[in-house]
Amino acid sequence: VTDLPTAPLEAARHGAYCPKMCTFACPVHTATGREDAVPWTFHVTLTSLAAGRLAGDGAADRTVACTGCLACREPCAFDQDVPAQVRAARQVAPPRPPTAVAALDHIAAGRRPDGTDPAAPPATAGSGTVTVVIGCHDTDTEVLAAARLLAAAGLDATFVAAPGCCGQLADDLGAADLAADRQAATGALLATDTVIGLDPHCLPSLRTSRPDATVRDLWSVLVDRLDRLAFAGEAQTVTYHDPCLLARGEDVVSAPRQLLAAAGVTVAEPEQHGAATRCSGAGLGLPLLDPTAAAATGQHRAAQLAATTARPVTACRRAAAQLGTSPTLDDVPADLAVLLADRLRPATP
Amino acid sequence: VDAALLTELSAVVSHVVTSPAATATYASDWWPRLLMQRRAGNPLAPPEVVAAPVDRGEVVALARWSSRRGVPLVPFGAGTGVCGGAAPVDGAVTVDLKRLNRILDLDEESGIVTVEPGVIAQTLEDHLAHRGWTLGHFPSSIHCSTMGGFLAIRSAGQASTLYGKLEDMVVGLEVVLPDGAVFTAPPQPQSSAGPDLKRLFLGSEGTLGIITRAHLQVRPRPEATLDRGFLVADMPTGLRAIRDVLRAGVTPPVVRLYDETDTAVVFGGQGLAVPEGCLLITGCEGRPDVAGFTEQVVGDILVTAHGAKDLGREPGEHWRAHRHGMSYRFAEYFKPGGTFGDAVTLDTMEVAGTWSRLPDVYTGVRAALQEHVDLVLAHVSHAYPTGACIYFTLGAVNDGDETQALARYDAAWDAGQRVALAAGGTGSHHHGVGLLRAPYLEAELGGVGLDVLRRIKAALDPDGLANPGKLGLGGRPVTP
Repeated sequence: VTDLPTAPLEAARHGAYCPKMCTFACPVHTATGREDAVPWTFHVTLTSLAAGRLAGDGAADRTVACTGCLACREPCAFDQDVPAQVRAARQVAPPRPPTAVAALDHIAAGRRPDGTDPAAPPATAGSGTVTVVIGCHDTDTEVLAAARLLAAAGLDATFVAAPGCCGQLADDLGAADLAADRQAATGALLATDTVIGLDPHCLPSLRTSRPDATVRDLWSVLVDRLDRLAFAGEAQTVTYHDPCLLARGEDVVSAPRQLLAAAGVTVAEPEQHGAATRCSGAGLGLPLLDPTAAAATGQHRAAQLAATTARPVTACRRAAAQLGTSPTLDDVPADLAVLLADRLRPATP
Repeated sequence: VDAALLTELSAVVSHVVTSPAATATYASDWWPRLLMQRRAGNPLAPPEVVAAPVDRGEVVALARWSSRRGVPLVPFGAGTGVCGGAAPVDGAVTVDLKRLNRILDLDEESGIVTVEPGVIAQTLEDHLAHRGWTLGHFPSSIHCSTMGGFLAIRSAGQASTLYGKLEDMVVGLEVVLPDGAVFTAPPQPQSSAGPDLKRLFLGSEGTLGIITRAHLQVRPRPEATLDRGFLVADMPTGLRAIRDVLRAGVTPPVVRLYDETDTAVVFGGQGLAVPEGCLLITGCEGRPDVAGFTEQVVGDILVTAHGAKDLGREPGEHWRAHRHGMSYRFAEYFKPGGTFGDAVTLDTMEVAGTWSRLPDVYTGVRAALQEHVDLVLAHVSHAYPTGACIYFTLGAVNDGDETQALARYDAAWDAGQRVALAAGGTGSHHHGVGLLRAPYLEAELGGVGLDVLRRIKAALDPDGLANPGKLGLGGRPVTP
C-alpha cells in the first residue's frame, strides 16, 4: 500500500519495535483486555498494511479498538500519535459495521450522524466577532447555555451548525473524501478570525477548515473574561470528567476548574483527572464501530466518577452520552455550560 | 486444529480467533532473538488459533478440552517476556489471558490484594496508589507487562531489596492444572503445612498450569522517598559497600551500582563530565523518619567505611525520573535504521551470585560477553543480604548484516551463561528461562534437580500439553 500518509507510517515503523510500553495507559485495553486495543497493535497493523502483509479487508477489524483519547501519548518518549495511525489505517482498511455505514450516509446527506437535522443556531444580535460551531452531539439546551455564557462575557458571537458533521467523525471513520467535503463546507460558514468549537472533538477538524483562524475551546475563551462573569447560587460539589481531547488534545485542564471555582462549585477529583483523565469511550467513532468496547471503557470511567459520590459534570456531550449509558451512574453527567449558565447572576435592572 | 476442534473450542471459550490479521501479534514475545528474526524478514509463524478466556471457568474448560483432545496450550500475557516463554508452538493454541483482568479485592486489614493474571502491573500499582498502598514491584516493564507474566517468570522490581522479588509477595495462589483441576492456596501469612506448593508454580512459565489468581502482600505507600547518588572507587569496593549496608540492619529499597562503562554512559548520556569510579544509587523510603534514618546509615557506611563520595540527590532523582527510559528507547536502537544503523545486536542478561562469588561472576561474564559484542554495560540492580543480581547490557553494531547480528547474539549468550554458571552464579535472576535459557537449565539445576522438575512435569502434565518446549520440558521441539 503506497498511499498511506508518511508521518503516521514512519511513526508506526518506529513503534512496531517499541516493547508496548504505553499499554497501561490505554483505557480500552484496561477495560477489555483485548489484544487489538494494545496501542502497539496499531503500529503493527499499519506497518503490515504498508508492507502488504495484511489485506485491507482482513485488517479492518484491527483498526477498531481505539478511542483516540491520546492517553498513550502521555508516557511516550517519542510523542507517538496513535490515533493518527488508526485514522491512516482506517483509510485503507475501514471498519464498516452497519452503524458506521448509516452514520456516514447521514453525514453525506447533510444530516447529523444519528440522522437528525443539524441544530438550529440561536438567534444572536450583532454581526458577531466570533463564530461558535455547534457540534453534531450538542443539544439546544447546551447551545443556549453557551450563548448565555458568551453574552455574559461580553462576546458578540454568531452560532453556526456544521452541515451534519464538521468532518471530524467522517475522518475518524476513515472516510477521507467525505471528511474533506464536510470540512470545506464548514469552513465556508466560518466568517470570523476567531472560531469556538463547543465540542472538543471538532477542534482539529475546524483547524483544517480554517487554518488561518484561531480555533479555541469555549472554556479558554470564557476564562479569559472571567472578570466579566458574575455567578450566584448555593455552594455545591461536583466531580469533573476531563474530556480527553480537551485535557490532552488542547491542554485545557485548569480553565473549567477556574470557572467552576468562580461559580462557587467545588470539584471532587476522580481517580484519574487532568491530563491523566480516563476516557469515556466516546471518541474516534468507537461507539459506532464497537458499542460493547465503548460501553466497557465508559463503565470503567463511570466507576471512578461514581466513587467520588459527587454529581458528575463534563464539557463534552459525546462523553456525557457515553457515560450516561453506564448503570453505575444515576444519570447522564451534567453539561458544564448548562451548570455554569444556570449560576449566572441575573443582570441588575 | 481442524474445524471440528475449533467448533468445540469456541463452545468453551468466549473469544477464539484464527485469522492471520488477528493472530499476527502473537507470533513472538519480546525475546530479542525473535525480534531480530522479524527484523530480518523471517518471523515465526503466528499461532494457528488464539483463545482468550474471560474467567477461571473458561480456563478450566479450555484445559479440559486441551487434555481431552491432546492440543497443547501456550499461555500468553502481554507478550513482553524476553526469553521466548510465550513463543508460539506448532499445533498449539495460544491462550491470551489479558481478559482475566480484574483487581478483585483489596483487604486493607491484612494488606493483601487479589488480582487476575491479565492485569497490567502499572494498572495495579495505580489502583493501589490511589488507595494509599503499593505492591512495591517496579520492573522496567511495569507499564506493559501483566501480573501473570511476572508471576510466571519470578520477576523482580527495582525496589526488590526491600519488597523482595514478586514471588516473595505471593501469599496465595490459584492455578488451573493441565487436566483442568484447580489448585488453590488461600492467602496465609506463613505456613508449615508441608512444602510450599505455591512456589512450584511461580517460575514454571505455564509448563505446569495457568495461574488464574494471585493474592499479593501490599504495603502502605511510602510517605517519603529519598534518592541519592554516590561515587565509589571501583566495582569490588561498591560490592563490599552494598554488602555492608545490608548487614547493618537497614534496608534501602533501591541499591544500584554501575560499573565504570555504565557509569560513563549514565553521565555522558546527560552531557555531564564522566567521573572516575562507579556510580552507586540508593533510594530510601517509608515514613519520613524511617527513610531519613535509613539514608543516614547508608550514607555513613558508604562514605565513612568505603570512601564513597556523596553526589547529593540529583543522580538518584534523575535515575528515578528516567528509570523506565531504556525500555522506552529500545526501538530507537533496535529498529531498522536505528541510532546505530541496521541490524544491531541488543539485549540484556541478568545473572546473580552470592557475595563471595559475585566478583568472579561479574568479571567472568563481562569478559565472556565482550568477546562477542562491541559494548557491555553492567550494573548491580537488585541486592540482598547474601548476594546480588548483575544486569548486563550487550550491544553490537553489524552494519546491516542480520546473520552476523544473530550469530553474535547467540555466541554472547552462550558464553555469558556458561561463565555465569561456572563461576557459581545463577544464569537467570528475574527474566526466566523460556526457550533462551532452556539449554542451560541442567547446568543450573543439576542432573537430579532437572529430573525432579521433569518428574513433577510428568505427574501434572503427562501428555506434555502445557507450554511444551519451554524450560526445555518435553513437547515438540521449538526451533526459533
